[in-house]
This record gives sequence, structure tokens and C-alpha cells, in this order.
Amino acid sequence: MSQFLLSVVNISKSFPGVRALDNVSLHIEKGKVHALMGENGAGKSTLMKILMGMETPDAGTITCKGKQVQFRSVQDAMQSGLAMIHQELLPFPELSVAENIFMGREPVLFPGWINRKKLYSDATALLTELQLDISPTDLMKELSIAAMQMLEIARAISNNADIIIMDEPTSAISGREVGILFDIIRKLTSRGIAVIYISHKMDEILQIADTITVMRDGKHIVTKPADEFDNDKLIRLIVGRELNSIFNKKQSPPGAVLLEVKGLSGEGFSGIHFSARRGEILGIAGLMGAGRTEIVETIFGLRKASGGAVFVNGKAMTHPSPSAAIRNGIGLIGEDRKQTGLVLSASVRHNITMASLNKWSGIFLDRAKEQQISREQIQRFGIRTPSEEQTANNLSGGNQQKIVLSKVLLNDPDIIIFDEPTRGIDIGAKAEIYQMITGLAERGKAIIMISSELPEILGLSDRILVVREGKITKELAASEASQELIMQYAMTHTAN
Amino acid sequence: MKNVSQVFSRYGILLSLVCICMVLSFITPSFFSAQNLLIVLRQVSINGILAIGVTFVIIVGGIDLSLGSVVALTGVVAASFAHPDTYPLVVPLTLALLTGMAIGALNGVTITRGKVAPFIVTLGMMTIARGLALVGSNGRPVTNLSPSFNYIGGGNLLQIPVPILLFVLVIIGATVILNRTRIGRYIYAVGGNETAARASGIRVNRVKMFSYIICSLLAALAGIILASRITTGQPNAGVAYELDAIAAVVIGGTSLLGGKGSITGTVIGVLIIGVINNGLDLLNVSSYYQQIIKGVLIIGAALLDRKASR
Repeated sequence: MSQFLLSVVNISKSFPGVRALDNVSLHIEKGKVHALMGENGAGKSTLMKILMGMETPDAGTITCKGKQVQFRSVQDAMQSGLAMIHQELLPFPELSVAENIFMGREPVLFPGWINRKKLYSDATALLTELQLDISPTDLMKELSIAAMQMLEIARAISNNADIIIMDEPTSAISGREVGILFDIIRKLTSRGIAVIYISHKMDEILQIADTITVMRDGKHIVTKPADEFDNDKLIRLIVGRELNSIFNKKQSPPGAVLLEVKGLSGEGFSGIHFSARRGEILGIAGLMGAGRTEIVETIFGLRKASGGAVFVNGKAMTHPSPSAAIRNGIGLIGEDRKQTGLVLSASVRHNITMASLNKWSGIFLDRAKEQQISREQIQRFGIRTPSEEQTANNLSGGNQQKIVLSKVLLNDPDIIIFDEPTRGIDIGAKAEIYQMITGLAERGKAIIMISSELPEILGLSDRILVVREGKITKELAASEASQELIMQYAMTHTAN
Repeated sequence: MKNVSQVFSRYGILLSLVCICMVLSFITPSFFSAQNLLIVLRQVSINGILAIGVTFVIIVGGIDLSLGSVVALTGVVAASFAHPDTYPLVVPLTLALLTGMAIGALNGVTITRGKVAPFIVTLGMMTIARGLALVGSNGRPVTNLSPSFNYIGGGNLLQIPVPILLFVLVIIGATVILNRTRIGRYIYAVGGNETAARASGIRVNRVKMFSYIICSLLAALAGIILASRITTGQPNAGVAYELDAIAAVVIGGTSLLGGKGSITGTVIGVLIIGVINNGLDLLNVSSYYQQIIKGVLIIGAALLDRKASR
């Protein structure tokens, strides 16, 4: 028998158009912290979902404590001793700490009747054992996020978990609380519990991890003891990708300033200052949750700004709203096309014309003209759909994205904001979208593009803004930018 | 097989209506006569007008529970100004319609600007409007109305009862608005995905306001017809009418989640309820049973809809 608690061997998983995991193997040792690193989309989440029984792999085996297992549900995984502490916690806010810990497996006097005394004494014992300063009778909603996280861990331990997965556990807690969390992790490992630790934060990983695995594009890249890594080496391994040739961007001298953002602040970001010029592609890089989407949605008027101003052609936008933004020539192709881009229950045609009806139609719709316009757009953008009457939710991600594009471009905006324009779409459709973006820039549009994919940012942008924790940490010219440099400013606390 | 289910999901309720009519013509000879069909149509016209109004609100993703009370209030308002030899006919009509619009605007503002759930706002408005109707009439029926006013609910034009003609006009108008105008398209967009609609530059609040105002305006029209038909402004009239209207919309295949639905569906839903009530009347089935059957129908239609959408 192996010395590993959990072995994942040659796991593969594909989603339509994406190979999320390609022959990945991972071995988890008892009493060790195993860190998992990689860019967004590297396959970490998919792997964890498979471990927790939320997805089934297409191929490969999972061995847990010497037995080959197949997890069909989260319950299966939990029975084998796995537990996951999620990025987003889902506690029951109106119930007490003890009730939350033992939710679904309360001690009973007889079936259906909770033994409240035992419930609270068990909870007290557990909290004392972990030296957590939380009362079992407190309501969940009164706790800090860090305390809730500790409770999730307590809950996992009470469930006899010996492999605990932590997904970005420090994303919402402060430095002092990180210290407490690390103390708990050390306590766990000293009891023989294995921790799989997913994080983007270098310094934390190097501090807490025993072993580090780097993943990239769904592939396993390297697994080594943590002391063989340093900051630079990790960054190189995480990004280490060649730029593909699907970008063929002509460098052109930028034109007049079209958009100016001055001191813009809002929820999740502050003091944002930048401008965008005609014919220029301005890339915005940064990690997920850094505030990039919030910034552009505020510029577009979807969110309220708490300070600062947006100028279009030198004129300040008063009363910001999406309709005002569109009138001023701004277009936004949002990050989540299902949420902000499409009316999924409506037809392809209605989605395409939705934003521009007032341009070519009076109170009454000119349906012949609408049909003509939507057919032209379907042709021009190569939207593959059986008919324009098809409801939008039946189309693939790439085709949905093209619908959103054609909808926004029908208004002929001068400033076009792309937020993760190629997320979740296949490589062929990606290339088409890149071509479209560069074409728009060549025709004198000002392009702002958010992307988590560094090759995309580097391959297309003339200028790159790096955002971390709601602030622009660096502006780079295309000539000086590299994947390593961008990651440096996107991830580490000390900008050098 | 797939085609069969597609056909059924598209024309299912129409087929149901036809089937029900066929069965009824077999078992009750008096059902399929011009006279009886006109009675059915006249009976359903008030619920029909209300149902069309609430279709707008439901497609935009909301709900309106205040309709029945608005019927009573606007009926009282109209009746109070419709005594013989006082004001010309336009006065009671205009005042009643304006009252309806005002209530719709109030509902709309509270929902859009105040960001209160439509269910709660219109539930509150339900009692407010009922209270206003009682206050305005001192709790007593307003009687002694002019013949010209009573013509609206009781008269015939070209041998067709006026309420039916009004119902048909409302059907045509609503269909045109929903299918052929920009605001109609926006109503579907807002109900389908409010965020995406806003990001497309659609002024979501205006679209919602419009829907609630149309809905209450049509309730006012129904209130006028009812007051005229019973020749009384009855402050206790119209109780639970909103539920009948919503039932018709649901039977007609409009999703309570918004974004989907049609006037045709609603009209068929209204007719199904009306035909069944009429048929059961002809068969001398007690009205107690009629309620049970209507309930079964609502749930059955929703179940069918779930099946079809899967």
C-alpha cells in the first residue's frame, strides 16, 4: 500500500470546447499541506470538484486510503473523509454556531427529536479542542468571515474528515486572522490531517505549504517540496506559456484621448485614473476579484460610483446609467454573458436588436427591417444558429458571445469595453474574437479589454494596466510587459 | 416524438379549449348556440380585460394583487359621477380611468424607486383601494345611474354586447403593443433578464411603470363595465378578481417568472375558464364543484407547462 492518503491518477475531464483536465495526477500525503497553484482556468477548481464528487471524470482513477473510489456525490466524498472549505461560505445565518456545525447530523434523543443538550456540549468540546474563542450559542450571522471559516473547518473535523480542501481561504480575511488560520492548519497537520491549499498568494503558500503542485491549461506541470521554490520560479512556472500566433496585431500610433477616468472609486476599488485613446487596445490585467469588473461596470453606469468622474471626449458624464453610456458611445461586452449580456429566454433576433431598437425604430417596430438587420449580423459575425427564432439559451458559449458582440456593436460605439471576452469559449471562436477586436482598434475605436489570460493581454494590448485589490498597481507599455512582470504586480504585496 | 411535444407545447392549450368545447357540445345541446356563446363571451369579458392587464405585469416579472379592489374603487368613482342629468358621460369615464392610472403609477413608483417587492406593494394597494372605495361610497352601493352609463355594460351594438366589443378592442390593442412596439419588446426583455436589459440601455424603471399603469388602467375599464352592468357602484365588488385573472394568465402558459407569455395564451386561458364555468352551469353542477375544477385546471396547466419546458 502506498503512503498516500489520496491518489489521483491520470484524471481527464472535458467540457464542450474545453479540455479542463488532461491526464492530471496528484498524491496527497498524511499530515502535509499540499498547495495547488495555477492561473484562473488552469483546472484547479475542476480537479477539486471531481474530488468532492461534484463532477465525474472522463478518465482516470482516484484511490483513497488504499481503496479505489468513485465519488458520485458530495456525500460519497465526505464519507471517504474529504471536506472542502469553500471560497463562498454558505452558513445558515439565523441558526446558532452549534446548529450550523452539526447541520444534517444532529444528535437525536429519538428519531426526529434533536438532543439539544448533547448538541451544545459536543459543539463546546469541539470548539475547545480547536481552541476557538467562539460560543456555540452565538448566531452565525454575528460572526466574522474568519470565524465562519474556522467553523467550517471545525465542522469538517467533527465529520471525521482527514483531507481538507481549502479554496482561497484567505481571500476575505485580514492578516491577523491569516495567522490564526495558519495556527489551526498546523494543528490539523500535527493530527495527521492532510490539507489541500489553493491560493494565488505566493507569500502565504511559501509560508504554509510542504509540497507545491503547479497546474497550467489543465495539465500537471510540477510537484516538488516547497523549499525548492521561490517567488520568481513559481511565477515562471504558473505562466510559462509561449505566445501563440493567433494574435496578429499591428502596432499603430494611438490617436486622440476618447475616455478619461479620473479618481473613480466605488465598491471594491478606489482612486482609479486612466485614459483610453482611439486605435488603442488598453489591457487590464489582474486576478479574479481584484476589482476589474467593478471598475468597468461603474464606467458603464451599471454600478454606482462613490467618487471621481468619467469623461468622454472631454465632457464629464453626469447621471451615469447604461443608457447614458450608450448614448455617449460606450459599449460593454460583459464578463458574464448569461447574466448581463443575454435574455436567454428571448430569440437570437430579439437579443441582437435589443440595444439598438431606438436607433432605427419608432414607437412601432419595423419587423421587416429588424429581420434584415439580424440576418446581416448573423452573417457578419458568423453566428451559428439553426434560425434567428432560436432562443439564445440553446446556443454554445462562443455563439452567445458573438450575439452579445453584435448587439453592442450595432450601436456603433467608439469606446468598447471587453470583460473577459473569451472566457469559456473554444479556441476557434477565440481567434475570431481576437480578429474582431484588433479590427475594431484599427478602425479607430478605443478598446479596453479585461482578461485573466495573460497571453491574450500581451498579444493584443498596446498598454497594460495591472490591478490588484481595487487599485492600479502598474501601467506597462506593451514593449516592456511580460507575463512574469504582470503577475508580479498582480499577486505580490510589495511592488518593486 | 419531439415534434409531437413541440406541437403540444405550442398549441396545447388551444387544443384543450377545442376539446372542452367539443365535449360540452355533445353532452349539453344548448352549449353550442350563438346565443350561449355570446353569453360566455360577455361573462368572460371583465375577467378577460383584467387578465390582459396583468399579463403585462407578469411578463415584466411582477405581479398585481390590487386589481379586484381597483375594479371596485373605479366603479364607485365612475358611478358617483354618472347620476342622470349631472355630468356628461366622459366625466365619469375619464375620472375612473385616471384613478386607475394613478394607482398603477403609485404601484410602479413604489416598486421601481422604493425597491419593494411587487407582491407586497400591490397587496398593500389591494386594501388601500378597497378602503378608498368604501370611504368614497360611505360603504353603500352607489345607485341611480344614467341610461347612457348603463349602456356600456348592458347595451348591444350590432347585436353584440358592448363588453364583448371592448374586450376585443383590448385584445387587439394589447397584442399590438406587446408584439409590434418597442415598449412591448422591452417588456419581454426586462422580464427575461433585468440586468441584461439595463446593460442594453433599456430604461427598466420606465418599462415597469408602463406595465403597472396599463394593468391598472385596464382594471379601471373593467370597473366601469362592471358598475354599468350591475347599474351600481358597488364598493364590495371585485373581491378576488385578481386571482381569477392571474389564473387565466397561468392557464394560458405565461410564466410567473417573467419574460415569456402572450395575449393569445391569456385569452385562451380566459375562455377555458369561462367555457368550463358555463358548461358546468348548463349541467347544473353546483358552483362549489366549479371552484374545485378551476383549481385542478390551474395546477394541471402549470404541470403541463413544466413538462413541456423540460
